[in-house]
Amino acid sequence: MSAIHVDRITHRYGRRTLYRDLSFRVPEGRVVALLGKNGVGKTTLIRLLMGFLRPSGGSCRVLGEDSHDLSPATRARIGLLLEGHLTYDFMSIEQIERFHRPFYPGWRRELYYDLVDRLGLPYSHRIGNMSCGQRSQVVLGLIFAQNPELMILDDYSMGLDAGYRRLFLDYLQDYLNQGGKTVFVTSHVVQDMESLVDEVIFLQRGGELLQMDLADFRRDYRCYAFEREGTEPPRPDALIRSVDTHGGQPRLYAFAERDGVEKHLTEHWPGVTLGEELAMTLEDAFIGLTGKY
Amino acid sequence: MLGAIILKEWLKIRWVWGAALLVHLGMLVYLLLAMRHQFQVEHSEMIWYWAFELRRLLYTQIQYLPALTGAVIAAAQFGPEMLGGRFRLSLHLPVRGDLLVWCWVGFGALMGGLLALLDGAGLYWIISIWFPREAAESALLTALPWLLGGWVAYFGATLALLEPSRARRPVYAGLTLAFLALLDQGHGYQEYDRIMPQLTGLALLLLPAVILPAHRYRHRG
Amino acid sequence: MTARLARWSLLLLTILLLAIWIPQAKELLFDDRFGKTQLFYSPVIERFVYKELIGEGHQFVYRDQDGTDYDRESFETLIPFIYYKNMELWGRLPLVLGEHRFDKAAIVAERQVMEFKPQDLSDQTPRIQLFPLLESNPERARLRFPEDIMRPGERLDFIDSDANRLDPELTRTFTQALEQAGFRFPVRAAFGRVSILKAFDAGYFLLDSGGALFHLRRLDGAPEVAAVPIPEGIAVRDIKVTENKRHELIGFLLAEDGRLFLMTERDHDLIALDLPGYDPDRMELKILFNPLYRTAVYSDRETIHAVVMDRDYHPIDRYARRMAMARERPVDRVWEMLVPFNLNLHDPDSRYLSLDVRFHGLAAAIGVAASLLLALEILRLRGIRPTRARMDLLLVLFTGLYGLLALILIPPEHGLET
Repeated sequence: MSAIHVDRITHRYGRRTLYRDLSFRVPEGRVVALLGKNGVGKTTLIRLLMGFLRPSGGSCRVLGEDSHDLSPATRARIGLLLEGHLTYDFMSIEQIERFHRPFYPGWRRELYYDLVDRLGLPYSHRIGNMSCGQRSQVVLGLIFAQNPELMILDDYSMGLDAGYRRLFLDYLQDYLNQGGKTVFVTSHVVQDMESLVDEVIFLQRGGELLQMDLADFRRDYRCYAFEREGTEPPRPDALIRSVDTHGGQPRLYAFAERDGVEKHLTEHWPGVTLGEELAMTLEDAFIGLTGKY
Repeated sequence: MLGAIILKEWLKIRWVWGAALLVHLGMLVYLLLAMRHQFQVEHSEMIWYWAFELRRLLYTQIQYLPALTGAVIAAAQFGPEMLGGRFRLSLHLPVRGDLLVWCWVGFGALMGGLLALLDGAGLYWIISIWFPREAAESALLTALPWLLGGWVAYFGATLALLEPSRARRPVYAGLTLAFLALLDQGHGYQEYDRIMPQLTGLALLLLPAVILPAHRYRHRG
Repeated sequence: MTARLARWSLLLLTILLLAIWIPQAKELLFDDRFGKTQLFYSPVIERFVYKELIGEGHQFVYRDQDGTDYDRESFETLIPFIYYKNMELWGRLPLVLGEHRFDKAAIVAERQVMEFKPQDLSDQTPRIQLFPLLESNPERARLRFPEDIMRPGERLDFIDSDANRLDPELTRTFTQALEQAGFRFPVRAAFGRVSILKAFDAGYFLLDSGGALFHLRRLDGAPEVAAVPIPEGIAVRDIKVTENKRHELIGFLLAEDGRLFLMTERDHDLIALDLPGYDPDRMELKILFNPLYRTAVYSDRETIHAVVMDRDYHPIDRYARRMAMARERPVDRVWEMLVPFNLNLHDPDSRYLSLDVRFHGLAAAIGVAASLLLALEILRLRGIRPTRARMDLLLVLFTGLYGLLALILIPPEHGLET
């Protein structure tokens, strides 16, 4: 069963096609991260998922319902974090909790106050007067208090310092430990994903999409140093995922083991000598997959 | 849930509403002083002659106040919803979108209605000080289209503010102005008496109408 | 569902607003200065004569009922009682008509104009039912407003305007005086002329609950009440009081059945006016008095009628003509083809605003057809099949251009087709 099922959606902004026939699923009980560089349409995808935009073609289903026609009961089962930790600036810490509480039967007030108490602010403090990080703490506190079945978090880490990001991950782990919870998250801090997510979806400009288990990705995606003798560097092809010649050490990335890559280079790029395999962080791998800019 | 919805609306408009209350009270005090001054410098029977026979309206100070207040309350309520697309927060609440919007405008209209009630009661009372009750009743009837103007301006501004398409907003603004102009065609007292039911009916169309921009907001392409 | 209701509410609102404002805009653009024809009875040629604007600028014609044209000066000499000051300037006074001879004083003494317009009717004009009862014997040159006002109701209240309080003494005195004269309260209606710029004060006519009419004046501060005998079969609808220094007539009395009478000042006798086709709710009436005749001239916005009477109000001759202003202009014809109806806010015969619909009949079929074609084109451009927008098309069918414009302003949306 999929918590989210995106089936061949196409979306256009004016004449520009953002995606065409994009499909993926977020299985129930999994934590799935949507990764992509700025401008590939992550936020737009979240908007489509929540029915705030109508795709030009295809369909999105969230918790079994058409995302464009989610019933109130289903919306109650979804915790949604909008981009930029969007919330009501005119409310205070106490007012915003009082506002959200009656809508959700399983509201966990203590979780909200546990998080916001760490801010050390009086409850009458207005959200509009908070820093970006403080505000995000309030908003995430609300989503944890809602205790939804599915969390859709658009760039949750924006404005959060390292300490608070860890705190958030601890909370998220507690939330997941309840069982049966699904999280669909986008973030630009790829590093945090390592300990959090089960699957990753890489969204490329033009709508190309790659979805796989994080463990498989970490295992199969490799980075190799290479050297060339006067010839031009190899270019991405069926095997070589990307090539980075900027910076000190030229690297190439591929979903292949050393033997395969060497053979491939000999055949297609004879002037190139494969070097040693380099260790990667998730962020390195992400950049290796999507390019630096 | 209704309590929570109302709480949010109240938090949005409380300062504006408080300010509007002060302005309305201020205008009523001004009307009171102006009327008192009038009766100090002119003979009462002449003022009565102007008022009854020449149909001079002695309380036009408050004519445009309801419309202005309606637009301001709408701006206070729906401006914050539109900033940064916060309307999505509300559309994600586990409540039917149309009912939610009706709760919003219901509350806004109620709060505007309270000010209209204050205007009406104040006008009646002030006129009653210097004129027989017939004149006070007539003033109230004369002010009805002005008060309806408050409703029209509130809902018109709501339409324009909730509307996601920039091209459509001037259409709503134009319709609202056309309606408001319809309520500003009188010269003497009680000239609207016979069409107030029709105009009220026409104004009631705005109540279902506010769902359209909300629907368009959710179903944008 | 509610979104569909929302769109239709907006469409309806848009159409109604357009149907009020577009015709007003058309009037603003194309209205011209054609006024009403001025119709008179000439005591010189004993024919009806008229002055009429027939085109733009100053294209006046001065003509008699047989179609003979006159220049302006000759025309004025045909109605010398109207233009008696010009006659004097041109040295044509005293005036000799047959065996009669009139000098300026004689003309002035007999001149009077009485007017009765739809807006004078009580039910066409909102009126706060409070009336100043003037002192009819002011013992000085000018009338003045009293410091109290009369409220006809269950009694005849008097309210002190300085204190804004009931004057119990005056109330009792006047109420008792009316009761003693046989007046049955409550007062159904009060008719009088509220002004101090009049020759004298004739007080008020009060209609009692049984439909009987009484005349009330304040004379030296005291009530003077007289029952006004109304002939059998006449129920009073309205009275217009017009005090005049000639002291012959006190005003008009309109009966419920539409008959119009003049009321004499002294005995309140009623003089029936025989005015064929007169409709008090739609027509303005003027009675022009001169030493020889009384001419009743009445008109709506199309036809003007005149009845000339002798000094005893017996009809001598009558005439009617369709006025130049009623001629349909090309712009009106095009307009009637363009839109199927107008919603009129202003009724020229009433102070009350109204929303009267005026249908343009079959001529509008052309505009409706054109609007439908354009609506189909708009649907095509938006990629909506006509069968999915049947209600929208039906709306254009019934409302023509207004519906088309509404469709453009509030277009059909995907998911909200009908």
